[in-house]
Amino acid sequence: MRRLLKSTRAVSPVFTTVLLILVVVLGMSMAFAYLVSYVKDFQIGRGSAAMELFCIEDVWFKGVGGSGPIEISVYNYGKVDVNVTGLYVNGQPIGFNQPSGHLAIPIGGHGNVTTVNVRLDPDVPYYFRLVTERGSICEGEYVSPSEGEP
Amino acid sequence: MRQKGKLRLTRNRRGTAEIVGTVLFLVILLFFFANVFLWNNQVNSEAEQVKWRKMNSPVRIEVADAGSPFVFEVTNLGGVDTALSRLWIVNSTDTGNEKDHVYADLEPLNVWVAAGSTRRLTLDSETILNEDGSVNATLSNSEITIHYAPPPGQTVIFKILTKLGNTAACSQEFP
Repeated sequence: MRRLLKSTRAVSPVFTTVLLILVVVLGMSMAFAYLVSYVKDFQIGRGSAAMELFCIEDVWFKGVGGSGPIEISVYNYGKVDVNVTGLYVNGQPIGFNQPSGHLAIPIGGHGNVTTVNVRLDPDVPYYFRLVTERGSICEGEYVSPSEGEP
Repeated sequence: MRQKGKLRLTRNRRGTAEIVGTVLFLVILLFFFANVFLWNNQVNSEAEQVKWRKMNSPVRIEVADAGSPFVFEVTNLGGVDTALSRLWIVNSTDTGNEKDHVYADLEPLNVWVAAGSTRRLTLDSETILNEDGSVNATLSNSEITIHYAPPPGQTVIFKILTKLGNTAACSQEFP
């Protein structure tokens, strides 16, 4: 058996060439398929982030002086759909739109981000940062109203 | 002798396949990466165009007539025309009402504010809400009427949003 494996007499030049072509074609096809899929993913994902343009149009603090949700209205004025997946309030990640935990806004559409109940102090600036699936950020500082006000 | 060598070189076909293969491979690669580059260029160009339009269409909202009917004006301070998206009406005085934050949807009315010009918005004496809870707004003879009766003795903030994402606000205390 060892002798058979070591023997190269049976491997003809034709067979070698066919094998070589097969390996090269297969290898290049795999590399090209990976490249095409990588570029496609890039175009759908991070590559389109430049066209993601959205802004906070209104912030509603509900239940100031106690605990309540914050409703943030978001407007998508960009060229692609936006999927908000993260919200940070004063640097802390806050859950929103439970149970899905995300907000999809079509082009030219509006959407609401409703947080879980958080402690809301009156006359305090809150710093909001919205993060999308593609990594775009929209942020702004809004002051909560005086106690008893909406 | 030299002529003979040149003739032999041109007639020699050894290695032609490799050269043709390499050139084809380079052409395919170039075509593929040129496509990606052009797409990226187009994306950035479109985004820059939107940002440029936004930067050149800031708006201002101010009270024009605090009497009855209450009128306020939206002025386009930039050099690019802009369309109005929403008018947010926020009652900043505590009423305990769920309708403290409402908006009038201006997009169906297709209200444009030309560069440097002003549009007047008039408040109605009666509040009419749409099915989705937004304030009803109508357009008649270029006159925009917002069917929202401001609550007496309370301060209301009016915030305008354009389709390019610009905002402006003003507030008014109603006697």
